[in-house]
Amino acid sequence: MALADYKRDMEGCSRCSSCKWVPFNQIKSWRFAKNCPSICRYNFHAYSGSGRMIIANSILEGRSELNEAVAEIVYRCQLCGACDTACKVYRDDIDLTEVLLELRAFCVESGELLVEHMAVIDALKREDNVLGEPKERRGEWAAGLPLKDINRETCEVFFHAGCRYSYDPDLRDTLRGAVSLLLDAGVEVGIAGAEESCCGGRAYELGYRGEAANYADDLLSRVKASGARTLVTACADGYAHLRYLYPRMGKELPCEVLHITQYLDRLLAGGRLRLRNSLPTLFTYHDPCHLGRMGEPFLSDWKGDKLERPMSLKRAGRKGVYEEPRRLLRALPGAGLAEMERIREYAWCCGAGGGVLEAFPDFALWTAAERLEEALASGAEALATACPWCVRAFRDTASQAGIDLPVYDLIDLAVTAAGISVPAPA
Amino acid sequence: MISDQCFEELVQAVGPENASREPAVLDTYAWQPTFNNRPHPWVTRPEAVVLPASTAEVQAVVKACNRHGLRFKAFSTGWGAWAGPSGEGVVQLDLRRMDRVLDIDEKNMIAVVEPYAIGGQLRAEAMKVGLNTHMIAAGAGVSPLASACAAFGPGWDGTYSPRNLMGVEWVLPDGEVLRLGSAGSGLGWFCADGPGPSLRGVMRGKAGGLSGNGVFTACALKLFPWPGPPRPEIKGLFYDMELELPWNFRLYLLIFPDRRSWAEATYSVSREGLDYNVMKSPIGVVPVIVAPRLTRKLAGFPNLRAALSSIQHGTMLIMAASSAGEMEYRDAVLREIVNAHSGMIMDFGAMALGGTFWWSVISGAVPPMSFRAGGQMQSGLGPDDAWDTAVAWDASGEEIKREWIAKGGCVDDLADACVDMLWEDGTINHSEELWYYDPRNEAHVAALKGMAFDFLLTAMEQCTDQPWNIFPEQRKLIAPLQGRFNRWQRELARAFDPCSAADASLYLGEEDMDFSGIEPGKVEELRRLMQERDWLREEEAR
Repeated sequence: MALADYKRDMEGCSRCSSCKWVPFNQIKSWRFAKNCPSICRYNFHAYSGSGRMIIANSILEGRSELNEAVAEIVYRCQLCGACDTACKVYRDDIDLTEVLLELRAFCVESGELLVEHMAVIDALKREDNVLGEPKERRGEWAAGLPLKDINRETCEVFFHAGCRYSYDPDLRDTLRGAVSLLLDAGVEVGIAGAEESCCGGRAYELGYRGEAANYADDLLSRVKASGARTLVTACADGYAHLRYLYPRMGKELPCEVLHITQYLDRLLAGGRLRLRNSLPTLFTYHDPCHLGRMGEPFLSDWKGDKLERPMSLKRAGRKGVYEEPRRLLRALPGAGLAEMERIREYAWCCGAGGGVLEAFPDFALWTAAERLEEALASGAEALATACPWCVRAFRDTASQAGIDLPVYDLIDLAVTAAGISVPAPA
Repeated sequence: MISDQCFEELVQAVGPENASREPAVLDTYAWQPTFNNRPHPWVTRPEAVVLPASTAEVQAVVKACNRHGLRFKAFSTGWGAWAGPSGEGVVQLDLRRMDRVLDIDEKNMIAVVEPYAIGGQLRAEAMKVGLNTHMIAAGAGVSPLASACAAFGPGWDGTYSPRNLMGVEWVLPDGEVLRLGSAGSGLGWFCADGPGPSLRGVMRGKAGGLSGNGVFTACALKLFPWPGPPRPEIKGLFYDMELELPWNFRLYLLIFPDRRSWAEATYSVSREGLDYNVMKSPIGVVPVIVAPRLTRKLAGFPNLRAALSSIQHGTMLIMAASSAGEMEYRDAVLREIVNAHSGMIMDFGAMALGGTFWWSVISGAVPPMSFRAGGQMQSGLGPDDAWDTAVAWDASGEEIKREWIAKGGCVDDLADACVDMLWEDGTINHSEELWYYDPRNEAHVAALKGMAFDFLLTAMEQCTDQPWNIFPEQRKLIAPLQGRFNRWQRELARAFDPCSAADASLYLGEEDMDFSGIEPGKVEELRRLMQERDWLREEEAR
């Protein structure tokens, strides 16, 4: 597909600005009624979903040109999908996120690149991860854990760690906790260790399509070789890409793809995960965009008139992962759940996605701070979430902005409640 | 073209982050496809766009435009072609940084709001204290201030935006600030007409000045009692929405055998004050919103079409009560009215999706769903008048639409998507025939002009109000039939806008109507009616 293939979507925009708001039936207050970090931070219509579609249309019609300033507008967006979800409450014929993605690919094709994003892509090419960390150290997080090496052995569950978890020193224990929960339940888990690569999703989001396809091919071949029937990942970003992007690129994995919260939920339901220890805390839960609305599986690449597209094939975010993390949270002994105002399909983003953290860290921080304010307003004592990028963004922001709200990964809470011992790194 | 000096002054006024003349950014203010009958959706690109955050910043921008011979055009949420520039040399003021609900005065049932506080936000805040706002017909995503001060005003909850206005802060076209009502005397926002300047009529008129007479930076609006929960617990977004109708609400669909019995019964319901909301339930609207693809298929089967048309004459009624006894009484009165007009009552609130519809109406979430049918909608905006006049418009709208549906000029909504609303117990009423179209469908776009003309001709024939007289072509044509209102507007503009700094095309503009493509017989009939109905001509000749 190319940008021009979405011209009808662009021409359908009625400029109603519904893309800037929480779906109207879910507005609960003045304070938390808006849904799009970009338009809220920068205010010009150009920074909304609608505005970016109009820019794309303007460029295609030769009314304006793509230049450095316009490319910055395109990239000052987390690709969180909130605009798309809101639009699709009222529209059947516009795939807003697809337009935003195509616009980024168009920027790359046109040579309008951000230096910070080029650094990410260079790191990816050099080390197979978006953080630029040494490839040979990717599997260190798993040292000493009784995991299978899928490069040499077959396994029941292929565990994909993801870039952020693999290298972030604060999050490595979380990852160890995740696989420890699986092992404790008797699951045979395999990993690629140092051979694991990025899923390629971030490259796709930044507009670098070729790189994304290469990484999809890599993971596809590894999954086939592993013989695994299930791939589990703790990375919400990766989850969305494997569920949506891979099938969209024609590279569907030959196995079931689950997020760790889904797998743990199954273990809980089957009695293989027992949460015993009390965590008497009132939590609020942050829906990661890539686990929620953007985590909806690929439904179809509808070629015809989208006004005729069945509702069941419309990517509206409803089939994202919302219940499983909440069930886990509710199952924690003594814990309570206080919902924020913007949740599920219309949750506010953590700010880290779409290349914003790398290129515009002040904007990422501003976005996360807004979410933490909302979390505090819920009355919760702590925030829990299920994505390493979100955890990192919230912890860093809380620390920098002096916001007193503990931030937890659900995996850590489950490990604590299960009372299992996670072996220290060897 | 804007000079560097002028742009620099705009930057000084609002800060460098809040002014732009980047062409691509400006184009996002030139895309205005809604209520735009031209063959393409682009309007003229503004010279610059600014984002003021305060009344003082608005003043500074307006004064800069006065100094440099530019015009200004402000909008709140910016939906509709009337929000964009009408021609070259216009600075666009996007008021989205002025988004606060400044006050909710629970005791006096008043809210004070800025331009970009939308209906959904005001509704949510008001409900927390047992009040609700007038939800304007365009829904929760648009500005109650704009509706009350500057643009139209219909709503579906028994009232009309300009009637709710309690005070205004108004940046005049020369940049001075005028506060109307008690706020003008520094006494608070409790009264629209004093102590202090009482200029609501001058400020607002019928359709509003659409920024052609200045910029409104704050206003006070009446609030109304809300007998429901302060924050209804709702899951889902539409089809998947889950909620129970509160015990003290009812959502009924009233069906009548013909238009006359429907009209009389609906009027009685309103006159008796039974309603929290009462409006026509057009047979074309609900299927198009809920299942547009299915509706397209059903419309092709004559028998199914006939079956749906047999329940065409319906009214949606939301009733609220403060006690079981009160609801019993309302139910009894309703039954009596409905029985007297051979109608039937469907307890829609007790059915699947009943709660969904109830909340979608109350929360103002329905209007943007109109896009589902074809991607865009247009309106045969009719009278705000006596109920009989509205009913006549309803019937005419159906006839006009049937003709154009047959010609493939719009989406087939069974020719009935007329929004008829009764306000203030039926004292004033509104009728508006919507049509749905696909802006990417050449036949639909080509039909826009002809359909609009047919509604105009019908308005002439029926001697009804024609709110589209905001557009220069219609203003010039209709003004002689409406007391030469255009002359008065020009006089006011001379006093208020000596430098012609406001982009006043939609307030003052006059152009000859282009009749190309319109059937000659219809044009001839329009000219004949113009002659016949120009009631000031003979008097002026004397």
